[in-house]
Amino acid sequence: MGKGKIISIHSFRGGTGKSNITANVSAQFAAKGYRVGVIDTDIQSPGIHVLFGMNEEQIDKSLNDYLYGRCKIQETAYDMGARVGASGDIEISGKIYLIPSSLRAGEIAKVLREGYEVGLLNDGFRSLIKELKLDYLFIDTHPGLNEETLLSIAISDLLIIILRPDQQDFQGTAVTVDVSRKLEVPQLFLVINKAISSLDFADLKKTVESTFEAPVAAVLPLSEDMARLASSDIFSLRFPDHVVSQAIRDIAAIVEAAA
Amino acid sequence: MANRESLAKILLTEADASLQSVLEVVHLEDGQVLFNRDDPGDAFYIIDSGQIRIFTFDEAGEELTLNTLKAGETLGELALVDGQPRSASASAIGPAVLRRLRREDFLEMVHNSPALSQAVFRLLSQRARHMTEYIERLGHWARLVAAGQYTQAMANIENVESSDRALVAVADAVKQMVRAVKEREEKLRKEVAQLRIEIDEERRKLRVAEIVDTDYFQDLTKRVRNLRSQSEE
Repeated sequence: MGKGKIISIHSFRGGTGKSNITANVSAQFAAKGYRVGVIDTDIQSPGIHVLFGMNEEQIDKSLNDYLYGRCKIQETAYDMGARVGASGDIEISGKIYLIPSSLRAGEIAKVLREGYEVGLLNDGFRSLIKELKLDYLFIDTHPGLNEETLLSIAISDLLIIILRPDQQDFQGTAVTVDVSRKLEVPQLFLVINKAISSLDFADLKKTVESTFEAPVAAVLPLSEDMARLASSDIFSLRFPDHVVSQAIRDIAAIVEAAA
Repeated sequence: MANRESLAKILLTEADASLQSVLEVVHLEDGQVLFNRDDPGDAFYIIDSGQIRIFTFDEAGEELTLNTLKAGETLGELALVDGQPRSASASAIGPAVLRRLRREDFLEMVHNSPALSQAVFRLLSQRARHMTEYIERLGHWARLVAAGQYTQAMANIENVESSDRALVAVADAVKQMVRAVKEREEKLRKEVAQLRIEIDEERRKLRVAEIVDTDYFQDLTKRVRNLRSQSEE
């Protein structure tokens, strides 16, 4: 307890299910009794708040306000415990805070136009861990390798790279793995998502591990069940017996043991 | 199959006297065709010696043997009743001798013999049951194949009693199908399982260099190193 570890969850391209996995893994940690923060640094296309059942009207202060000096970062943290707990039968014994990005078009445009002082992110992460007494801070990053993403990766204690089993993701992941190694990230895991059922998962895991020389924490199947939920809930809490939920718990167990 | 012979038996015993006058002997050489599919069904045959092969053509035009009949068995009994065109073809395996009963003569005999007409009823109902059982078996095999339970499907097909030659022929065709499906599936699985990971190493190096060689990246690396050593203290 009181570890204050930073876990970044990244993917080279969008659409890998990064936000969904971030929300689910962080919720598993909260269910285990940890104090967890989830920060949406995908400022250009925010989305993780939806998984926690939050809508635009419920977001007052956001990460954008902190980055432009309008408030302290802890003022942008929303306690998700009640929301997450309400969706399933699992009792959330820990705490889960969400730091959303602004959904306002004007705010998003401002970031794209003016950028922001990337260094503020680092200060913000440290403040959050200290003020909210976080055991783990999960960072839902922006796909690609821009400056804020590089910073998130650089200051992570553990990095999870999500990829789909296709050539474009393999190529992008190769670059991401190399860059992360240059940044001396202490722990790096890969998670393969949306694997079609005809693939031999064990074989896929082995091939990916030897190609990237990095451990694969889990291979998640392409799940129609998960898609049907349409990103409106924490799947692994609502359907704990599903094969996808088991894989999510595997990831949580590996992360817990490593960081 | 006993009923196939019983019609012949009844014809040859009970209606013996009147039958002899109307039965016509037919000699066939090896491979000679007795009748073709779609020919008018105008007669019934009793095999005295040799073998007769009943066959049809599949969609690809390949011959498909449905049954092989031997001496003592009969063929064409449906034609006697309904007069419809032949549903399959018949030819001799080796030299064969048959006796032919024309439909018009048969109908007259049935009219005069209650035992014979009862035998015809029994034969027809037997055939109807047989067809239903056939379809049920095929349906069961299809369900097993659809569920991917190939081993179970094969075991089930192997269990077909060898006395029913028509069913054995269909079972063989299904067996071949199961093997082909299984083979294709395994081949496909192997192709998919060997999902190749091809990484363009030149492009990879180039992209990494583009990122790593920036001032921002160099500065970031230094700052992070400092941060890490601070937190370790």
